[in-house]
Amino acid sequence: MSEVCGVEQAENVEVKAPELEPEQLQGLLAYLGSSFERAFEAVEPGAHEFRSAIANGNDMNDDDKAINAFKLGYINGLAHSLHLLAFNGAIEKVLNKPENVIRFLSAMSRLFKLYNEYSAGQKRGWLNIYDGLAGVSNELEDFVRDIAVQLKVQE
Amino acid sequence: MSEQEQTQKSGLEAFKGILDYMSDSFARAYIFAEVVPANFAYDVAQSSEITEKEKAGLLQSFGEIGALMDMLKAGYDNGLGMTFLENPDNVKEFMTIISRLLALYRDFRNGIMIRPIELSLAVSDIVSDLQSFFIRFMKSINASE
Repeated sequence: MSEVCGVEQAENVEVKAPELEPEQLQGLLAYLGSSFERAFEAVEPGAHEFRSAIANGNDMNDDDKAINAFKLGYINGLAHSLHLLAFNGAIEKVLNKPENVIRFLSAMSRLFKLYNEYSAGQKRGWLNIYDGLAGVSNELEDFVRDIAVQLKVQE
Repeated sequence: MSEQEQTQKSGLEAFKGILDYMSDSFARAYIFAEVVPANFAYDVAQSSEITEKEKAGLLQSFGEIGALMDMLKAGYDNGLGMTFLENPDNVKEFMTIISRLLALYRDFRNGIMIRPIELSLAVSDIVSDLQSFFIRFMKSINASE
């Protein structure tokens, strides 16, 4: 009986993640930013998890869930294409430039911010989410285009 | 060649002019298929014969196809990789890949329902071929321009 009460009490306790300042995570960011491969591995599950959260949510109808799932697939497609390029000699060099890895992380960080806000119930509704996702995909599209420009200049 | 294949071939001959015209330029090849990934995704999402899990995978793949097509078009619009994108062999290869997507979409809309697992595999193959095409495009920018 006491064990059951203990479980109930534990379930009622709100577990709050400790607040972290970005400065406290500089070491982690520097590590992730040191190679495109590391950065990609860190962010890869984001789009899948976000899509799953939207699919299980009750703030959108099925049509709107589909539209956002497509957009998340689009974002994942851009990230995956870049990742495939990361194994190709000259392109790998460009992608691994610290400023490029950081830019990629920054774009994907917008996705995680949106995901966190969605999970916390701070941002809901298909248009809010779609707008946020469009911002991420636009940033990634610009990034891919700039990588192509850098490749041309590097030649 | 079977009778059916011969009939199909002679039927296609009638459209040779328009097919040659479309496959003469990457931009033309892109434009006629531009909206297909999103439309296909939307129609799959409405289907009651595909499980939610299968839909999730398919929507992901359609998103990837849309992204890859748009990135190739962005390269074209920005004058990047033009040697690659204007090479007739490459345009035809792109058309062939996209044509497989269109054939699947046509069958799906006409109710010729292949099993979801087969649809997923066919769409994944298209993603994979478009990724290879995209990688060659990006490599060409660095190699020859």
